[in-house]
Amino acid sequence: MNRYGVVQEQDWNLLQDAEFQALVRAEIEANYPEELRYPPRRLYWREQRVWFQRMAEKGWIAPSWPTEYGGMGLEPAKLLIFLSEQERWGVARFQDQGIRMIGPMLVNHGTEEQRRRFLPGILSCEDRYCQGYSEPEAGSDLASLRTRARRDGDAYVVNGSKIWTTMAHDVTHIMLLARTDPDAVAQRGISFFIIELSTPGITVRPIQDIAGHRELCEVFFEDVRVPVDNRIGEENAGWDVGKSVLSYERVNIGTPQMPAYALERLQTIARLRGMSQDRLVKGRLAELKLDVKHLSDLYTSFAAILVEGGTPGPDVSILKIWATELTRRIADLIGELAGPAGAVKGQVQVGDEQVDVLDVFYKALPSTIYGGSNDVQRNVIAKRVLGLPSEPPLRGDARPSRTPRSGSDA
Amino acid sequence: MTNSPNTSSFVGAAPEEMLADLKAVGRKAVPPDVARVRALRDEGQDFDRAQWQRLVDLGWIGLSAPVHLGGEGAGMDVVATVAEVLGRAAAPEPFASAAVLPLHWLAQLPGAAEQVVEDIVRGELIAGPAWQDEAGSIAVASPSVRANGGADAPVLNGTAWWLPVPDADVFMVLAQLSGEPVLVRCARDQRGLTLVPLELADGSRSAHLRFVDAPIEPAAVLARGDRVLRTLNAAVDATRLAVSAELLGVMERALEITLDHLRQRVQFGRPLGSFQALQHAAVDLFIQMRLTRAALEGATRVWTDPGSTDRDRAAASSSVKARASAASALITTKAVHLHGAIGFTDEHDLGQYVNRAVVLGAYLGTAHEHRDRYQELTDDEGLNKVGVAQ
Ligand SMILES: Cc1cc2nc3c(=O)[nH]c(=O)nc-3n(C[C@H](O)[C@H](O)[C@H](O)COP(=O)(O)OP(=O)(O)OC[C@H]3O[C@@H](n4cnc5c(N)ncnc54)[C@H](O)[C@@H]3O)c2cc1C
Repeated sequence: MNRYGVVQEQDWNLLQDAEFQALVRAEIEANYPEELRYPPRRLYWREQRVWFQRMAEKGWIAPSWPTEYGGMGLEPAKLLIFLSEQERWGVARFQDQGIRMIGPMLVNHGTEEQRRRFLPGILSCEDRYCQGYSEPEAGSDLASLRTRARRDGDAYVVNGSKIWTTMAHDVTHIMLLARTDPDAVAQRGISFFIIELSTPGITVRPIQDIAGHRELCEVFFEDVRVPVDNRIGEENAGWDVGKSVLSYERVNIGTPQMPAYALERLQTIARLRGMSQDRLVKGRLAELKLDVKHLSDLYTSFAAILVEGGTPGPDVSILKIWATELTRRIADLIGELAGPAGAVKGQVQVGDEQVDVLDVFYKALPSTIYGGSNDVQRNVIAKRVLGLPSEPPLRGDARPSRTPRSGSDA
Repeated sequence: MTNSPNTSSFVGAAPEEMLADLKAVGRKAVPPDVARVRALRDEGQDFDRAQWQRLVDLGWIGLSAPVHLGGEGAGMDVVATVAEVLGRAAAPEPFASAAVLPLHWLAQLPGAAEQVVEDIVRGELIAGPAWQDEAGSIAVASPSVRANGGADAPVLNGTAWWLPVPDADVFMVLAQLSGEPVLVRCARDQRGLTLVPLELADGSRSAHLRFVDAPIEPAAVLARGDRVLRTLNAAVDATRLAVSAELLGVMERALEITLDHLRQRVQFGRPLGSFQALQHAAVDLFIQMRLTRAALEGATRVWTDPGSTDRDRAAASSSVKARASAASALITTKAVHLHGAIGFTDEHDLGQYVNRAVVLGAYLGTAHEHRDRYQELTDDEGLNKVGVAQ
């Protein structure tokens, strides 16, 4: 038993891959609720809590965390098996940003006291997180954010608003980037906070998206008092904390899960439409299959860094770009093969099965935007990995500016 | 294709530090030297025998041969590391086709073939494998050369196509004798043998071997039976992995040259590399290079895993060859575009990498062929297996 109250039955990494796979598969097939398989939208917590609480009790909720912090400590090959077994059975994802981002971030940036305070709630699923970064005027140019946190004794007082905060209406905590020094150069005046959404002064309003779902939210802060102890990292040093969270997010968006799921849907629809054996279709299926395979090869090398408790470098952006654009390509081919069924919302009869043809389309569509848009990711790689020179400044207007730049490009 | 495990002898993974050292030392020993390659080409030489001997001395040529035959008994991770270094150097020495392929093939055929292995490892013999049919099918199929006249006085007729090393001292010919596949050792001056050479894009050559009533000694039949085909199959798959690693070196170097150019070349008063359109184009090439590296690591893991079957290994080799062929073509050609006209000149180093990618991309199967093959080899796996090697 470690200090986070989670025991692992054994060292999973000592098992043969096939043994581990059989074990995970048996658990899922025996206990995952049938009616929750392949959900076409994000499920609310009340719909799926039974399963994830079971995972938490089993000690399986944080597969990639080191065991000393209550995770399963899976090495990359095992982690991939763990993920792909869930994918194979159509297991839902919950709002697991606490597992995927907050945990690794606290390991690297939090204090011991903060780890003891926040990790157990994440591991038990009692605390679930959303990400309060984007604002109406601060999207790709995140460092221009304006939500203000003013120090007042042993607390900060937060005012402002966040937007596109996924599932804010279904979770308990928000990670917040707010400006603590309005006079500093953009990135320097930002701090990182963890805030309970039940704190007085917070209002959440859902936004309907073009798939008809209500997953995105606006979050408004009006004189919200946040204890100083909820600040992660030093005051005004929140930008680096926030960026490390983004790098975990990129590893997560870059798992082969979404494209593998999309490929499975594509193969199914091709089969149901009797097109699997068409020469041209076969060629494209084979190409996409290898695109997914090589994503998982690539993911393996980054997962190794996470399992050892490290933070990936800026090259991690290639995972996010490849995974999301690959899913878009798969969605395109699904549309081409589906015929008139490709226009139907929700379940539709194709051949002898019911499928949601548009599901992959709506999952893929926003994926090139969130988690740092792919254009911005390419900018980052070009400069920080390939060492290409910066573009001339574009702030304000096109005239050369004599004042120093205040903006960011991460 | 059989499912019996390990037609090639199995060698496990080497420690990562050892591979990193080998790469660092290798890069110093054989740095990129396009001037040398161009000079060889202009003299009409496929490769440099003195350089081959250096590779022998470095222990690289004998990497794939087992220790009891004088080799290093190295695994595919070590072979891939060396191949990548050679690709990066644009070295025309036929490491994959005249070391990896024949050694993997012959070392598994006990008897007379082992002598050839020892000679190759010592650098005393360069052996060219001749097994392909006219279509250049990537499957190792029934031989297109026939031996008639019985086992006592065999006579060869037919053509072995697409031989990669026409300058070899001897040819290892796949033939058919009384309904059985056989491996025949055949000298350059073999009576009844004509070489039909073809000039390739990078200045090297390939050739067809045409046999017309060519009488051979019975002792020249080094091995016979199905294992000749089975071991050739496995050897060709090992070679595909090595060629893919060489292509990785090719694309890595081409990308480096291109990034240097983007940083230095100024137009419109700015370095080209500060234009976002070109930055994003460069990033897309970088992604393809990294995917190839990941695919290579994935494939090598399969080859160095004791639980892998021949079929797993074949799928792994097709996986990486498909990516390496397509990515090297994309990167090298786009690199020319990003250079402008200077990139299209023979004087610029880039050209050698472009042409090398053309040649190695087609050798032992194009991207398209290997995607199909991968699909066939993995078809009965669960749909959602995210590529975890079983
Ligand atoms: C489904 C979904 C879920 C989301 N969930 C969250 C969440 O939970 N929490 C959160 O904080 N945010 C979330 N976001 C917001 C997301 O992070 C932003 O949408 C993203 O950062 C882009 O900002 P923007 O939408 O303001 O677009 P803009 O920044 O205005 O960009 C518009 C377009 O311009 C391009 N562009 C912008 N700058 C450049 C540049 N320098 N070079 C080249 N091209 C450029 C972009 O790539 C994009 O194509 C979510 C978004 C979506 C779609």
